[in-house]
Amino acid sequence: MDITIKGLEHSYSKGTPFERKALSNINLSIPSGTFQTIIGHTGSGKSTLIQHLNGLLKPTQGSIQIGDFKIQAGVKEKRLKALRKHVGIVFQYPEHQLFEETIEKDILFGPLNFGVPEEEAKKRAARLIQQVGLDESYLSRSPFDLSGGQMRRVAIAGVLAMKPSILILDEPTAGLDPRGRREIMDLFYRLHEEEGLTTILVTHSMEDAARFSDDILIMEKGGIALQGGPETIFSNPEALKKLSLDVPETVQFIHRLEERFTKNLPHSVFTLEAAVDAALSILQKGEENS
Amino acid sequence: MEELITVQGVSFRYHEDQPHVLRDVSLSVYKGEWLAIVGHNGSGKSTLAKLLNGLQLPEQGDVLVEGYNSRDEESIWEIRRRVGIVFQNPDNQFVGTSVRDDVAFGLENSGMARELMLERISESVLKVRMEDYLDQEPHRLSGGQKQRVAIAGIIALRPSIVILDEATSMLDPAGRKEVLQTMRKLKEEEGMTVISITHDLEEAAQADRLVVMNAGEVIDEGLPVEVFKKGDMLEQIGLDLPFPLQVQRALSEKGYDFSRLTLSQEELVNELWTLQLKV
Repeated sequence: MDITIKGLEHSYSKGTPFERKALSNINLSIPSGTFQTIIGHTGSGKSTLIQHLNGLLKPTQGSIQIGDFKIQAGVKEKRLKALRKHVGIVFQYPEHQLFEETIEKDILFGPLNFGVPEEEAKKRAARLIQQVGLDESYLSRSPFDLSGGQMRRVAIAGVLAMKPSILILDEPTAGLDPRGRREIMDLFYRLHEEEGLTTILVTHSMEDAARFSDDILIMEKGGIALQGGPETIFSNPEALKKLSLDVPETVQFIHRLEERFTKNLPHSVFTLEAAVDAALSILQKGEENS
Repeated sequence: MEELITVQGVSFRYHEDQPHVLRDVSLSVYKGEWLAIVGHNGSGKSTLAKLLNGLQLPEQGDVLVEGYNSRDEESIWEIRRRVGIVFQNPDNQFVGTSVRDDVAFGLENSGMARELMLERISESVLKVRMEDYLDQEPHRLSGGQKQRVAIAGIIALRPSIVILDEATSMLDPAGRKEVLQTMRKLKEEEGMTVISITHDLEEAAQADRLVVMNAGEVIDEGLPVEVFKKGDMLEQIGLDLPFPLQVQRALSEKGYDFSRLTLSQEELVNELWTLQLKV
């Protein structure tokens, strides 16, 4: 499902003395199957924006079109429940939302609520628990005996059980250790590819943004400050610095090399391997000259 | 070097029918140092922090803080006065309705005279550069600002040691920088001893000393450059090496010899420069 956002504005507590504009004039189009990353400081409007994508918040102006669903300021969309079937959100610290006695029941909660037959839902749970990297024996256990990282996987399985076609991830790796972070991001990227999902990732990690995104949106003060593919966004460190954002370490490294060795290097270096290759190219050129 | 904390053969578990979270842990913390404790989720780091200020007591072994043993009931307040902890979630440790009230909370509990208390409050907010926010309500502050207020509340009590228990892991990069800079300044200017429990190996690389934990045990300890030499071991227990070191390791595998370990990009680029001159 394509997403088209037109002239979106959101004010909290509209019409009261506490009115605060959190988003203004957002225009954005996310074609189906895109890996879209959203970056910005706390308070830049990221969370407000994503809560519009399944109707948790309504625009105070403008519209959001998702497939054939339309959410518009001042107009009631009667099919919000149907829309929410298609748009899954993994909120920050999703493990705080686990509540059932067993892991299976927790994963089943969403699908059963949306009328999926129990047998079918159970099949999904059995498949999903493996997809998130746990085995079937976990299904009968209590979610509260798990480690934080495992609980997060269970919560993610619960969102996936709804078979969303759009998956929204709000800082999904916050608080995890480096291995946990890598495993969870690899999982999301695999799902994105295998299931043909549209993925919207909110993150502070420039490394993840560079590695996975088709398109990066940088928000500031409720508006769009920059937008483009990783190469475009990270080829301009000055613009990022002005927004007090960093470039990925790989890109910093390339810039340092260029400065020190006064050489031009490829700029789309977003993985360790590519960074090592750039360093090698410099060392090997040295060898040729000698 | 003066030893402030001594942990001797400490074992701990939360319930008798559960496995041990800490096993025979021994370590020392010295005055004025920045000690980083690293390990993956569930390695026992945060439990250790709770034992260091007497929030939990060892099942076996002893924790001594400036000579006070946490097992002695009379010592426990002496220990808590000396060791302050900044926790992970900025929203869970704000107790006051304004920055001023929040910083005052610990002082009030210690029964301090009002005059002295006011003095301590202005002094501590100044040190964390939050003096312009004294009357602000907590929900108007950013995560980094909230953590700085938490630090102010702790240093107002004049502890000798501040523990950062993943205190920056829920902050955005700007907030993280704010908090770390604040602590570095306190360490340098006030001689504060800092124990930082962290996943951030870039930060750990800048510590004076490093302790590595895995499955409840201390498995390594030393200067960051010494510990990071054992890159394979660190990777095996689920920790990421700092980026410059990863690049260096990949180049070493291709046959390039480095004269020393590079923990920052600057060092790495300098080493590459030297290498390039040699070939």
